[in-house]
Amino acid sequence: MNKRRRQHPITILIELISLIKAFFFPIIIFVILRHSLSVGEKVLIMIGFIVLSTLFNLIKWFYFTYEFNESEITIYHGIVNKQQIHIPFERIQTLTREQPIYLQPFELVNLQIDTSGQGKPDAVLKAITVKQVTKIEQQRRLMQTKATDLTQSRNAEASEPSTTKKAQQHSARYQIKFRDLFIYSLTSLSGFGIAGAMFAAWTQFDDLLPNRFKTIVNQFLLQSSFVLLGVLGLFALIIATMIVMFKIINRYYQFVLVRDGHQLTIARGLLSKHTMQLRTSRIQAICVAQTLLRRLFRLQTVTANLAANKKEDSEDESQTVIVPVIKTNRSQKMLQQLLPNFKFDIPVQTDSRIKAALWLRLRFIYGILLAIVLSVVVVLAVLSHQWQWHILQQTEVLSFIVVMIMGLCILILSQTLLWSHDQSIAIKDDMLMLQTNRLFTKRTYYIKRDRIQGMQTRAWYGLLKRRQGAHMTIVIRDSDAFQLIKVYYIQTAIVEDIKTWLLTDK
Amino acid sequence: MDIPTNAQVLPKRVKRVWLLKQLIIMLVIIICLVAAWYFAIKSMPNFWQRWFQIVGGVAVVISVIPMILIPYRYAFNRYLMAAESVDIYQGFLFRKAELIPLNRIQNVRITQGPISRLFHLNNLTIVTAAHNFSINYIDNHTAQNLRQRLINAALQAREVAEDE
Repeated sequence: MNKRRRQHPITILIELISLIKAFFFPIIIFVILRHSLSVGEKVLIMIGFIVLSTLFNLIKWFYFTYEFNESEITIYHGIVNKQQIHIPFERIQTLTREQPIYLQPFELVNLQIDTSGQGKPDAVLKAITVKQVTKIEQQRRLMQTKATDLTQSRNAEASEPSTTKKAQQHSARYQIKFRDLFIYSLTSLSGFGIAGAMFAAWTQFDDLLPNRFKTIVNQFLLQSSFVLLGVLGLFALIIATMIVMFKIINRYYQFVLVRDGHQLTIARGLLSKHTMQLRTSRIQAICVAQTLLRRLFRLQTVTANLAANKKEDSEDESQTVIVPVIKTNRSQKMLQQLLPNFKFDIPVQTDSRIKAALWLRLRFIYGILLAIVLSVVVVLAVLSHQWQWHILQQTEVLSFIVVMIMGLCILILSQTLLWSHDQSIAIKDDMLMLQTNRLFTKRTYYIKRDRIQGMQTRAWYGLLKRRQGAHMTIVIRDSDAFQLIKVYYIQTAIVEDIKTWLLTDK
Repeated sequence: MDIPTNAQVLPKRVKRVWLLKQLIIMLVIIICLVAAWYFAIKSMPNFWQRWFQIVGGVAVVISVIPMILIPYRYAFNRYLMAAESVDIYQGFLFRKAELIPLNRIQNVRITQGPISRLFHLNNLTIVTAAHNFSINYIDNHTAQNLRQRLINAALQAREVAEDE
């Protein structure tokens, strides 16, 4: 185990491609703009750039070595400034194994090692063999089990045998069913977003398109009937939905979550295979989310806020998905098996808010809407008076504005009714359950007391004194930043109860 | 959410700091408005000049409001070092209270900007695993005293993660 190794030579090619990708546009622009250069000179510059980059990557690859023994991994790198990174196995918080499609034939993977959960990972080993990664993972598990056993035996001297020992011996497994994944991808509303983005892109880039092409398209659109345009819109939406479905299926294909004692392993992916290992103690909170559409199909998604680096891949996602899709009636039992240290059987209590909560919230949101509408009307009136626009006197414009405002009012009303129905707070032993509904998505958070970093309360004088209510925010850690979970119009007595509960953490 | 009677008030000279800061902000706004007037608006039609005067006037008036509110801000800006937590209270009509349990505190920072240095005041920042929050403009002695108490309390507190 004590032998210094290099990454696979394919790293040179991968690094070269990423370097070319990064400098592609600047070089192309430079080559195109330099009219004084001949074609031969331009080709020569390109070749020179590639040769120099290859040489640089070759030297970088040669000087990047790693070794590991029973207790730590050591990485040596740097051409001029030599650096050594020592990472003890006990301190590793997350190990993320990623296998893009181009590394699969070589049985190579990229490995990210994270010890702090803050910012960038401590080290990234690119294109190393699966055998090496497995050895590193085994050694890390061995060292961390030893460390946990040592802590537990120390605790056992003072108290009765801990229940975590029992939990450690148990294991649990969740595997996604393709049928559920398919329904999940089908119920994703991102397709509308992509269709919207396609439309926005067309309006942005139509200046750059050739005039002839633009004329043909515009003539076609003007001559087409509403039915044909509707069909075209529907077609664009279907294409966008299919893109989203493929993205989701590619991401969560064969998703498997395995808990072995205190270790969680998440494996997923179709084209790019992704495996993440972390300790359950890194979980700060669990969030069970349900969009309105998925609520109809009784499907839920479970995510976790981790005290770990979440930039594990290029796909941006705010939280780490623990269970991509699960039936509502199965989720509680499954989550309890996967995370026995959490409690999920907390009864929902909706009587935590003040009596007039719904009315006050509606009054507040409609008040803001009214202020915005009035400001827009005043500005439009002033501008039309100045430039003789008469925009507000046109029936079409007026009816369009009225329809838009009415639609917005109905959306606000339905969202607020859902919020009023869903929002709840409950405490059971050392667990806090907060349920919210924002933008038609119901989210239920399960947070352990010792993971709550702080608490904020806000209220205006009337709400506090006349209604005995306040808004409450719970602060939890999320990756290297924080997340605020807000609940509104809560009875002050309940806020005080939560404050007392939070401070009784011994 | 009522401010406890034993909550600490900030040193009185903080009112002068707030006033000075607000005067600097007002000065910057006026300089920007004057520059915009001479370099752009002056040559524009009357309509735009009139609107610029209205918007500029409103901006100056808005920048005066915090100066008028300094006594109110001072009266309802307090902090409390309780046995189990640090509490910060702000505002009376629009109230905000923050609470950090002592055993979540990871470290404490003291910073001093040029204006704070001029008045011998410090900003105390309390850092948790997730976020920071500050008690601004406390005197040197109180800042050092609070820092020591917070660090002692955080050290005595039980470690949160059992296997970390």
